[in-house]
Amino acid sequence: MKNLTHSWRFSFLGIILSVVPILILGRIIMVQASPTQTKQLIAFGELYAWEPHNIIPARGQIFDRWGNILAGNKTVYEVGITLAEVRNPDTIALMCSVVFGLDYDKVKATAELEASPDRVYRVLTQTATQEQIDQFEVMRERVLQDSPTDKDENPPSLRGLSYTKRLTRVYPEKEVGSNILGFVNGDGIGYFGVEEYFNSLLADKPKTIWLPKDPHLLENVPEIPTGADLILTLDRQIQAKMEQIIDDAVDDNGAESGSIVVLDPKTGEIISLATTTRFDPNEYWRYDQVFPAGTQYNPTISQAFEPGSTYKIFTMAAGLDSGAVKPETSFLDTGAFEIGGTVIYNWNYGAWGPQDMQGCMQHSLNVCLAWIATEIGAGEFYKYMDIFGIGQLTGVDMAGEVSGRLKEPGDHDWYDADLGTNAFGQGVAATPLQMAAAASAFANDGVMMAPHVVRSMIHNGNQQDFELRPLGTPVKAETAHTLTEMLARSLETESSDALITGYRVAGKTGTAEIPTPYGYTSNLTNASFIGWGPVDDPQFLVFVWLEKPQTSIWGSIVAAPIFKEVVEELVVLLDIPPDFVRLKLYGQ
Amino acid sequence: MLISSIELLVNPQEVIMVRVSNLKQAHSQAPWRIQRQMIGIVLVVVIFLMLAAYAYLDISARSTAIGRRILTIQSAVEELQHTNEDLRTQLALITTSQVMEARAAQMGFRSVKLEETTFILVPEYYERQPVQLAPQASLPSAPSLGSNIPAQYTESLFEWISRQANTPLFPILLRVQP
Repeated sequence: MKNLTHSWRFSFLGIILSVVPILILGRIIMVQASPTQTKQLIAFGELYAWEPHNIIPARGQIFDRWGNILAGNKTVYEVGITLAEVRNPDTIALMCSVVFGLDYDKVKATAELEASPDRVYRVLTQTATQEQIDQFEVMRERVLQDSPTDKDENPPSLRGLSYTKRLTRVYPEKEVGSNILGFVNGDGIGYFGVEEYFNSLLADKPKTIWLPKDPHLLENVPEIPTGADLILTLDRQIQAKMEQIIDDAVDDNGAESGSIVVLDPKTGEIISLATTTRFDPNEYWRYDQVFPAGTQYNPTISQAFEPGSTYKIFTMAAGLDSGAVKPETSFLDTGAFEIGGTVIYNWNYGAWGPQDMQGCMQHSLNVCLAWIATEIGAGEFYKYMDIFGIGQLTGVDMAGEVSGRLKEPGDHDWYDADLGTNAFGQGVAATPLQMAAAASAFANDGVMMAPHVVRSMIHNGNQQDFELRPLGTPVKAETAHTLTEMLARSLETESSDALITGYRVAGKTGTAEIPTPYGYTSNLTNASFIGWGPVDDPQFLVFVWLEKPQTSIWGSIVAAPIFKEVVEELVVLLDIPPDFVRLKLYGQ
Repeated sequence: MLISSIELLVNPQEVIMVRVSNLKQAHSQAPWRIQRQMIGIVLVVVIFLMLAAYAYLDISARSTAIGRRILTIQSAVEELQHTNEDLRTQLALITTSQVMEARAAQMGFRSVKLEETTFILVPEYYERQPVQLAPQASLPSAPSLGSNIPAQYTESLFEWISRQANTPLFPILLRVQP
C-alpha cells in the first residue's frame, strides 16, 4: 500500500516536470514561428532597454568687436514623460501645473498616451528653471512619503516624469542688436540674422540619441562637437546708442519705422545696424506678436524701397566717371525734361535756370539728373548701376537679405522713360545696406568693400579672421574724390542740418514718394540721408531712413538732423578727432 | 613434462582464450578506480567551467564598472560645461551695456558730448584694437613635446625593425676605413 502511494506521488511529480518544459518549449516555438509576435516582443523589450536623450549641442558664443558677449548659453531643464513608465497621469498633471505652470489637461492628455515604439517620450517644457526643479524635488519627496500604497487602487505616482539639463540661448544685451543677431528657438535652430546664416557653424544639428541602460553598450554614445564662436564687427555701445537715436527719431517724427546703417567704408565692416521694431530674442516665442505678417525682422537688409534723391549720387558718379559731364558742365534747367513720352519735373515743379553739376546736386534737380542719364546713355548708365550692385544681393553674412529691383533695357517692363526716372531714384528699389555699400565706394577711393558683420571665428582653439573682400570698383578714385567734394560743398553752401562742427562731411538728402498700386498717389514719403566723413579721410558712412514721417516729408528736415546726431556720437565713440586736430597731427 | 602433456590434451584455441582472459583480468581496473576516474574527469570539466565563468564574470563586472565610470565622467564633463557656460553668461549679464551705464550714472558719470571733448596727442599711444580671444589660426603652433622624445619611445616594433635594418652594422669599421 505504502509503495503504491509513493508511486502516485512520483508519477505526479514526473508529469509536472514533463509538462512545464513542454509548455515552455511550445511557447518558444510559437514565438519563434510568429514574426509579428517576435517583433512586438523585441519592441517591448527595447522600450525598457534604451532611454532617449535629446542633445542640443553647445552653441558657439557671439561677441562684439571688443569681446562682450552678445549671445551666450545658460542651463535650463527639459521636463518630459517616458510614456511606458507612467502609473498615475493625474499626479503628473497636477505636479506640472503647480510647479511648472503647465496646462493640467494638456499634460494629463500627454501622460495618458499609450507607449509604442514610435511614441516613447514626450517633452512637456524645455525652459524649466533651477528654482522650479528644486521645488519639484521637494514636492516629489512629499508625494513619495504620502503614498498609501497597497490599499489605494491608483496611488499617487510621478513615475515616468523626468527632467534633464540642457543649454539654451541667452542674449544678455536683450534688444540691443537683436535685428542683427536673430534668435534661436527651443529646438536650437537659428532664425534670422547671424544665428540663421551661421547656424551650422555655431552648432551641430540637435539630435535625439538612445542611450542604452546596459553599460556594456556605452561605446555607441556619439560625441557631439561644440560650435564655433563668432566675433562680430559691431560695437555694442554704438549699437545701443544708434538704436536709442532711431527710436527717438521715429517717435519725434511720427514715422512708421526707421533705420540707421553705419559702415566702415574702408573695410566694409558693419559698425551698427539699428532698426525700429525690435524684440528681446530671449523671448523668441513672442516673434509672431511683435512681427506680424509683412513686418520685416531686419529692414536694412530685407526691405527694399525707392530711395529717391539719395540715388542721384550714383547717377552723378556715373556721369563724372564716364566723362559725360564734368563738375563745371553747365545745364539750363527749364523745369521739365521729356524722355520716352514722360515729362520729368523738379521736386518743386520749378525751373532753376543755369546750373553747374554741383548746383544740380545741391538743389537736387530731377530734371538735371535725368538729362545726365541721357548724356551717359542707357547702356552705360545701367552698366554702372550693375557695378554699384543695385538690384543684386550684397552677400552680407546675415540671413534674409533681398536683392531689390533694377529694371534694365531688355526687361519686359523696362521703358525708355525709366532711364529718366531711375536717374533720380524712382522706379528702382534698394535696401538701406545696398545703398550704403554702393556709396562706400565714394569714401574708399572708388572701391566697394563687401559689407559684413562677422569679423572672426574661433574654432578648435584658434581665431581666424575673415578676409576683407572688395565687391568691385565702380568708379575711379578721382571720380570718388570729385563727387565727395561736390557733396561736401553742397551741404556747406546750403547750411544743411547735417553739418557737424569741426568735421567736414559729404552727403545727400533723399525724399522719395511711395508708390501705390495706382501710382505715386500717397502724400507720405521715405525720407533719407546718406553721408560720410571726414571728407579727407573717411572713417564712417551713415545711411538714415525714416519711413513715412509725419512732421515733414522732406529728408533735409527730418533725416539730415538724425545724421548729424549720429555722427556727433560716432566721432566720440570711435575716437575720431576734429579735422584741425587730425590735420595738425598728420602735419607733425 | 606433466604440463606439456595436459596442453596436448585440450584444444589450442581454448588455451589462447584462457590466456587472453587471464591477461585482461590482470590488467583491468578495479570498479572503484573507474569511478574515481569518472569523478575526476567531471570535476576537471566543472572546474574548467567555473574558471571560464569566473573569467567571464570578472571581465564583465570590470567592463560594467568602467562603463558606469564613463557615464559618470561624461556626466561630470557635461556638468562642468554647463557651469562654465552659466558663469560666462552670469558675467555677461552683470556687465551689459545697460548695467554698466547705470553703474556709471550711479557713480556720477555721464556720456561725454562732442563739444566737451578735448583731443590731446599722447606719444606712443596706439588705438584700441579689436579683441583677440584665441591664438590666430595662421600663426605657427608651438613645437610639440613629442619632437624631443627619442624615437624608441614613440615608434612601433615594425618601425624599429625597419630602422635597425637601415642602420649600418659596423659603423665604426666603416668610419675608420681609408
